[in-house]
Amino acid sequence: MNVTFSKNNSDKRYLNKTLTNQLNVTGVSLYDSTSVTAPVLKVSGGPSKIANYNYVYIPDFDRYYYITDFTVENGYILVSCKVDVLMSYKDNIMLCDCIAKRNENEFNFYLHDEKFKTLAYENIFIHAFGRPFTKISEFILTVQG
Amino acid sequence: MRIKGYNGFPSLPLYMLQNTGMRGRDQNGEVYHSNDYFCANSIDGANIEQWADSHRNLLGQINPNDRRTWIKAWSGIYLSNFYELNDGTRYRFDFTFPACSGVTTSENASNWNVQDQTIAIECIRNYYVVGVRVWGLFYGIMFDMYYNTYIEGALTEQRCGRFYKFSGGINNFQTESTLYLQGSIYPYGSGTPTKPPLIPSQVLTESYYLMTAYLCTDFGGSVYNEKQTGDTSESGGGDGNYGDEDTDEIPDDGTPTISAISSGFVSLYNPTPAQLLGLRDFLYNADASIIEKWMRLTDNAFNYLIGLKLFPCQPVRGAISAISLGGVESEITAYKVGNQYKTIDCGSVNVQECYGGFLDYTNTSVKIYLPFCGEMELDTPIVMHGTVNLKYKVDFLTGDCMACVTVTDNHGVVNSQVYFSDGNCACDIPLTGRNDITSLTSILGAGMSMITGGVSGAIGAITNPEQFNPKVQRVGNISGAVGMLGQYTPYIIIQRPAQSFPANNNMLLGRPSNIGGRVDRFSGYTEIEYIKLDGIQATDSELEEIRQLLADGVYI
Repeated sequence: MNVTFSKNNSDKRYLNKTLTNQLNVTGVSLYDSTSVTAPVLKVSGGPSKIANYNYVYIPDFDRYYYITDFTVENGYILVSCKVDVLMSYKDNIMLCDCIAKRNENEFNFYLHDEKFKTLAYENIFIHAFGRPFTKISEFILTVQG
Repeated sequence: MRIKGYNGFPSLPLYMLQNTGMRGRDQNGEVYHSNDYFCANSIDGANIEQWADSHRNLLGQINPNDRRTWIKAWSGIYLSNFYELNDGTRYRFDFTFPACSGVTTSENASNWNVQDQTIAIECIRNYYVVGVRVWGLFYGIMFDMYYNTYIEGALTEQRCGRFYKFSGGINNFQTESTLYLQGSIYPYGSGTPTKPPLIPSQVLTESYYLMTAYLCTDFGGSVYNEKQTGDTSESGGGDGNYGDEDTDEIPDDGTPTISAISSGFVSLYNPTPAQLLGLRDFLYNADASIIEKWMRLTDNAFNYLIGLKLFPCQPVRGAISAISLGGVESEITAYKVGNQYKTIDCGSVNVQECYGGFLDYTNTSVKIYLPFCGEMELDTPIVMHGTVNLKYKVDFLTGDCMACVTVTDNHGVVNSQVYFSDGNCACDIPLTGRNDITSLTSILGAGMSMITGGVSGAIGAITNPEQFNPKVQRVGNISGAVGMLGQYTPYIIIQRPAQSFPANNNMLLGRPSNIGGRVDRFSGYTEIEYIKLDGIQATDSELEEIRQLLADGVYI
């Protein structure tokens, strides 16, 4: 089968990865029994062929994968992969209804934020009212009548 | 055992088979749990024993611990009120099954109308409301047949607790006259139910949480399952007047219009120190004619002096007039106090938000220092983003003062006095060396005795306490008035948190959002708390991973 190797420079948490240096490779087979979420590809040729790549797209599985390891065996390169569910299903994920707990751009600062940090000391502010009393005292005499 | 029928019911033998969990009421209305159920032979008189033998295997499939109640349904036959066991125990077993024309023991009864039939559907929890249309797929164990029959109709009335009245029709009914009803309730649809049941039959094998089809009479009798010990939960609420509630203004109420001065029995003067000295000299050197006038009411002129206090503020001054003692004018003039009360407006302070967020409320404290009253904590949500006005109301007769805090233009509070604190702002000055109340008490307690000493001197034994007539009560003690030594300026203290906020905080952590919508409406760092993963052709583990990654935080 054909696969496309590429270099992923994006944080794993990105839904849409930025992929560069794409390399199509044909004649790739699967190594022994393999799962669709963690396949092991068997690629002919030397390690230098794809050792600098960290990402792969397998059209037959219609999924994107991180490359987790390279192993050389009997002249083949065994490429261990793990599915990138975010990139693989990003189009459908984007259409799903959700409630965001935190967001970089849309937020309400009046919601309590348990991740907020404050310093040990506090800022003290004093605001005075007008002075109702005077140190110049007044006598008040109360008398009968 | 055999059971004979009553009330016109043909004497058909009824057998009780073990461990079915059916309950009913006996003739006294007592709940009866026989752990058995009834079955009867067909109306054509087939031998029940033979029937039982031929269905022993089938009946043996019934879980003996199953607490479902199996009720016999008859076509056109009433199973009447009482059944008597061999031992004489009567078992009330009420149900009816409507006579329906066109139904015989050998014909299909499509669209069999059971409008008159009350089939009480016991529903689990609060799945159902009246009016919902349902399928009832009942597994009928027919006499000589095992056949699935379904009922379609609607829940028309809620009986007691989880029991609903069902009205509908039985389709595809084939009977040889005996039909045990057990089954499931499905969402309504045309044709044979294809969706999974709302209450699947397999649930029925669990004890207590059952869906059981009952046939219960409209005449008041019922076959009861578990005793209802509480109300079924129902949906409700959410109908408050959010957004429509007004808030009332509670402005300052002012001071009383009638005071002690209005009575005429007391007068308040605002003398200068020199005027007080002059009054003192007048008292000490009063001539005999004045003393004689004073003696009409008291033996001591000082008794006309009710109190002398020092105040940290000026009263409302009236006219200058001679200080009158017991109706006798002295030679000393001073300002008369025009009003016993005075309101002093101390102005306002704006309590503003610093951060424009939760830090201004949950992490910020606001206190107010009130001279002569002390310190008071103010509720931050009430005063924040508002104007705090302070007024002092002073009583120049007692020295009491009250600090009144009004909050205006807050998020909710508008021009309302919401805080009050009282104290005393006067310093008492002793006028004599004794306290009249204490003296009177000691005299009354001791009976006739001499009173000696004191500034006024000996006045002789008191034979009639009424002659000792301090008609006014003097205060002869020095009050604490430590407030006089303290701070006279009221102020608000705001303690605010000092935040530590990195510049890239939003990009790496985001901020609390709680905003809903499609994922593609958001951008940047996003943590998704709740999501409905529709239309994603992924494996179960992948879906779970997606959910977890979104919850941990992604970049969109």
